[in-house]
Amino acid sequence: MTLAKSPWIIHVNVNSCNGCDIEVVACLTPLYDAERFGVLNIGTPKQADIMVVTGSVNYKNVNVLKNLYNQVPDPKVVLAVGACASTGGIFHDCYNVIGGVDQVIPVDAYVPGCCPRPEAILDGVVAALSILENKKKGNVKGKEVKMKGNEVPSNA
Amino acid sequence: MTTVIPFGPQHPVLPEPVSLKLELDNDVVIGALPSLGYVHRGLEKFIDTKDYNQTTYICERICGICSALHGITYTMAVEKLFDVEIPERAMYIRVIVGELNRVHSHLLWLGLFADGFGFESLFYECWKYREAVLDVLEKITGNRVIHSISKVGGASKDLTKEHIDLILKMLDTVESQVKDLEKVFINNYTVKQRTVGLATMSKQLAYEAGTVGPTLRGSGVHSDLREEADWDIYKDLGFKAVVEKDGDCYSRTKVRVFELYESIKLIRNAISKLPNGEIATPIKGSPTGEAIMRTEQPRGEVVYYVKGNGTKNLERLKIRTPTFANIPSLLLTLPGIKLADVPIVVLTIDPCISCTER
Amino acid sequence: MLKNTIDAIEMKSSADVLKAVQDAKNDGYRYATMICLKKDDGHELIYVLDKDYKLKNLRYFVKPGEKPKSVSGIYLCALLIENEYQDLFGLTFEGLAIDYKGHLYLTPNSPKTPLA
Repeated sequence: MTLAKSPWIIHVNVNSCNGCDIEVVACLTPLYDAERFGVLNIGTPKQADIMVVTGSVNYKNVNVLKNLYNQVPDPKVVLAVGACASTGGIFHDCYNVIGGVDQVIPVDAYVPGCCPRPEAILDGVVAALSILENKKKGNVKGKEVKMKGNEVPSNA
Repeated sequence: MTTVIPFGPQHPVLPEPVSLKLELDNDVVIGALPSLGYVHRGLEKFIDTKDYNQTTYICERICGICSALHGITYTMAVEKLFDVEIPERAMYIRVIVGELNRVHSHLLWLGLFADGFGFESLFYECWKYREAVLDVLEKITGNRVIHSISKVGGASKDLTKEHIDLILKMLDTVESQVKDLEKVFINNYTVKQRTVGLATMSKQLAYEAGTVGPTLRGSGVHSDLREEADWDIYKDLGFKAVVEKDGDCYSRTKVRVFELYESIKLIRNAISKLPNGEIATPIKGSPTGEAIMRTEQPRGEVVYYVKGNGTKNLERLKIRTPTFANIPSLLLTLPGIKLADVPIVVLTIDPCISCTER
Repeated sequence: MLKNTIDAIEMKSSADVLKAVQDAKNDGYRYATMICLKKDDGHELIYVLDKDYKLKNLRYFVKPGEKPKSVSGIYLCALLIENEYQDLFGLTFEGLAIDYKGHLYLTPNSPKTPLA
């Protein structure tokens, strides 16, 4: 019984330009076929193990992201795909952008690139699998990220 | 009794976050209110810190699906400010990459649309065919998604003999594959059952609601900016706009399927007429004046307004993207639709939220 | 003076804009977009209308503190762009069909009127 044999992912687009999104979906289509690793894209956070986040965080979607993170059951792994999700990327000093995903929720693995190739995203998912397995062994729980109403994270 | 159901921002059929507040009477929508801002970054402010050349790369990252045409439109707008003639070969390269972009975008949409009504095998089929187009784009430009083919003054990369052979070979396979897809999208019982007669927009309604692109042409309005004077090389290539008159979801789908053939024809003709010569003119100085540039993107007309004041940085950049113009039509078409059909109606305007909000 | 500008008809008052837009609609024009610029403490609005690939532009100067009238009663699709400028420039349009009150894109704690 290992979790890593069939991880279900939820794909969360926060502030992405669509480039990374489409590449994440392309991973699941026949040419790259992430389903051979047992990966299944699922629409609801309650059934997911891995959260794949694309795009940077802005003031409106920050609570959407926290809300989804809190709903994913333990053990959970967060994978930040693309330059924007990792650091804010080319948009890091836009007025409405808070920064990378790790400003808001804990991130376990990063996939760099603008946009990352599907092979790179698959590598990221495979890297996330071993983290997931370790978290399960160590019984690591994800911290609940507090919803602060409309407030901004203090380090933003 | 009316109920309000939020649709999105996180929803299985939407790859992007947009939220619609649907007011329902039992199962029928009686009102819809879009809520935007989940992808708003504030790109129009970027011109304060980036010069007009760097802004090209910002504009390409407005959207990862129609990125090539964003870059091309921006550079053409700035060229209007400089009032320069750019080499003909560069224009042809822009057309070729722009149309390849349209082929991949329409295949992508057809796939997502099929997924929207649960036809998963068709979704996979469309995206499998799309990969061939992306492979060629990657060979030509170096990236699958962000192409950066256009720069102020011309094209940034040249097409070699080897590239042209690759494109022509790919077009032959894609064309026969599109023929297979056409059979399904036009004749299949499931597709017709879900789309025929759904969310019909009359010619007048679509026009007055300000819709653009395939949404407008699906309602029988003959409007395609590729026929316009700013892009006069399209006339030499024998371009004909695809128009369907019924105005329902089925006819918007048909427009996109038939536009695939039109784009393939345009690329073939552009390659056969591709002139030799330089691919870029050197640009000196800083832009002054103001200009409006419009082109036809996969999703419809995009409007770029640029204003320069004699410095390296532009004074104002305003982008009106196609989905921005198409969203108000949802307010008019959604009332009267069953809740289960809402995802399909939303998908038929080909929503690109990162374009809309920039 | 700028040497290459777009052709635009100057409008004197907000009521003139409404009338011109209504006339354009009767002539079969389509609402393309509206452009907002900062100019001499106030704002300049350029209404862009399209018919058969030809553009008709109306230019109107909004004095500081003035509330321009919304054209969303004539073209419903104008409501999105007018709400956008309420967010980004801090303008107020009178008679908007759906008024987001400056929160179309921005939340209460985002930067206020970033382009103004």
